[in-house]
Amino acid sequence: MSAQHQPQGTAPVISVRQLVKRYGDLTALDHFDLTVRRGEIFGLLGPNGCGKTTAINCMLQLLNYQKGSIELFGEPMSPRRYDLKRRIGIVPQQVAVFDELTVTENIDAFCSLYVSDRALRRTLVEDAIAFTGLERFRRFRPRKLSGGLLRRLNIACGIAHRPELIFFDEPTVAVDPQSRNAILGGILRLVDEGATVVYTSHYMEEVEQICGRVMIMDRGRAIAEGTVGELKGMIDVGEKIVAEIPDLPDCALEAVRYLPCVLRATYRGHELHVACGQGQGHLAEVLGVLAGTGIEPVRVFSEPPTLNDVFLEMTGSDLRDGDGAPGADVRAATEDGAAGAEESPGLVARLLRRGGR
Amino acid sequence: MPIVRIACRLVREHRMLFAVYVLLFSLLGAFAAGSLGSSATAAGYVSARPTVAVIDRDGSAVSQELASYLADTGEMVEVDDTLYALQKAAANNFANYVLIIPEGYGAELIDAARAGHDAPDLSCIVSYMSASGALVDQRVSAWTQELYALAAASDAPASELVQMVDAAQETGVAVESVPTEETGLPITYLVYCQFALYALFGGIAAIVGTGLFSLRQTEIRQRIGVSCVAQTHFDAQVVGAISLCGMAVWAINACVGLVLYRDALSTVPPLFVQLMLVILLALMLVGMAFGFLVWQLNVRHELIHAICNIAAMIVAFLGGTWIPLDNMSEAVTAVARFTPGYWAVSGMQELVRATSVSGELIASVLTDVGLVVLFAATIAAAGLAVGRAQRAA
Repeated sequence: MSAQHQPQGTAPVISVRQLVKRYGDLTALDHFDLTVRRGEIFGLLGPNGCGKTTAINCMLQLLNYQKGSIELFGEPMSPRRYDLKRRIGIVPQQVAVFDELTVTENIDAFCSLYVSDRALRRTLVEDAIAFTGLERFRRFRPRKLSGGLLRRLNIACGIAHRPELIFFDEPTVAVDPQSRNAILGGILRLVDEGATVVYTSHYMEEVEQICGRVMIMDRGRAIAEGTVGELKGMIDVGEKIVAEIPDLPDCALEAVRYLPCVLRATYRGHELHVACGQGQGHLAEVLGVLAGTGIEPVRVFSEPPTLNDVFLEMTGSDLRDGDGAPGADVRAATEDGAAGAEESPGLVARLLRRGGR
Repeated sequence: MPIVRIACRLVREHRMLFAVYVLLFSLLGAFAAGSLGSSATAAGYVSARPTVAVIDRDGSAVSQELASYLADTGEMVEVDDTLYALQKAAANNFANYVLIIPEGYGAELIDAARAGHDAPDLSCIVSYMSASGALVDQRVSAWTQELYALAAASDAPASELVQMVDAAQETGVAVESVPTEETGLPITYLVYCQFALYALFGGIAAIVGTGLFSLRQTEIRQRIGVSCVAQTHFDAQVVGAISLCGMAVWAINACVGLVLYRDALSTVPPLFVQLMLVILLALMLVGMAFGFLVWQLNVRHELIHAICNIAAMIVAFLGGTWIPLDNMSEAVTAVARFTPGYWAVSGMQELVRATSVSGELIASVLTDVGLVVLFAATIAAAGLAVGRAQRAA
């Protein structure tokens, strides 16, 4: 499932140019540009309140905007372009289903917003149920479903009418690894069947796993765009080395830091963490310096930077919940547990920094 | 019509509300109407006989005749002439009325009447547990006043005067009820329809507010917003769904009423029944409008039910469902005029009082219906304003 989906053609399904969206004095989207090509899975990343959901809502015409143009499928998008809306599906971050209806009824209800033919709809609903693996839960009401099944129902409701362009807004929030795997596998299958996907998530490994191209947004602007490999090439760090050493003298740490290829080196918890620049052979150089000071690591491993490293280096590691736009991103983040960050920012900041870098 | 279809499915899942708000309140109205009983006649009337005790400390002809008069109107019981026995009789409700005739009362009364002085006082203990003792006291007052008047006008001895009072007390007025050939709607059906006010106002509002609640949820509105359903179509279909709910409630209530009172209604002009159904239809519109307003408020289920029930109770109270408005103060009646229930019940009462079909009656009832519909339009406009404000926000 690690096949990154590259665009199959060059025709843009989404073309956003110089989009500006303001909430009073606050600029949520600042001359935002986006191009998504047919058949690709496009990852839209950014900290809370950076404008991801605002951008999606503008594209879906749920929000109006001050400047810029939006073209979908090569045609200008407007609130009354129902012919274009018919070709779009959305899987919102919050599970948006009717609590009173069963799985089948829910999918049928949302499908009926696009397809009026009852016989055709029956087929489409069955396909969506099979696609999301909800066959055994047809008569279940949402409150009887687990978190993962609810997410799958949320997806089924968004894709039942077989849209060509699907927006997935953090579809794997609060689901177990098995369900997440199933959801990601389903997205890949949708693309294999010809759909184009715009995918937002805070889970970098997911984005790295399935997205062909990725855009990192911050403060309403696109700050980087490209394949995961291209993005990794944009940051200073080219290799991360971790060496387990029971006791590291200060002189040895200073010697490592003195190497030209080393950007940062820290020693904590019997582990030496070294961030090296782009290039090759850095591991040998670091081990050579350590050997020169008479130190032999118990264990050593080296890895290239992850998308998480790219994201944090580009957007910084400061918490963003407080200075976001008043859009859905901020609200969603708060609902997801970032409220805790507001309650105890110091503690959460320390945890994030220890875990993230 | 996908939104209507979805709305109907959602309301179907809340079908218990129909049982609670519509059937229950319809049957409650029927029970209330049943408690009125069948139309009473003078022939079957039996007056109550309160328990009475007389402490005669006088022993004169006047006091003995007064005691004899009370014995004719109530059940006499024995109470000792001690403070403890009197208190016990009052506390235990042993006697509804205890009359204490003081010594020399008879002579003092006759003398006072002839001299033009105030009549002497009688002492009595009136039970606080029923009104019958108070009624006996009124009879005693009437008897003594009559004796006072006769004594003032005549020099006859006391024994003769009391005989004249007794004879006067025995005379009465014969009353006979004469039914008209054609009458309005039966009072039992009026009571039933007054109770329908609760089901049609609060019931419809609660069903609409709760049933369509999910359609107001932000995430679901977002999904509908990105779909092929235009906002105007969505609004129109929601109104259609609310109309279906309202019609269903009205139909259930009307059918239950027509079935329960079919015999009584078969004797009145069909137009009366049709006009009553039109009044209920107007009330249904108010319920729909209020349901639309509550739905636009986008509040949770518990609050929806609280709002609908409190509002329905106020409207039903001011419409005279629980207590007839004639028994209330002018201030309450003045406030009631600003509620739809008042005008609906006003129209209903006209149909009960009516003795024949006339253009004047129809015009009067339709005016009341028009006023009720105006209330519906006003509430619906408020709902639209709330919805627009929320959308803008």
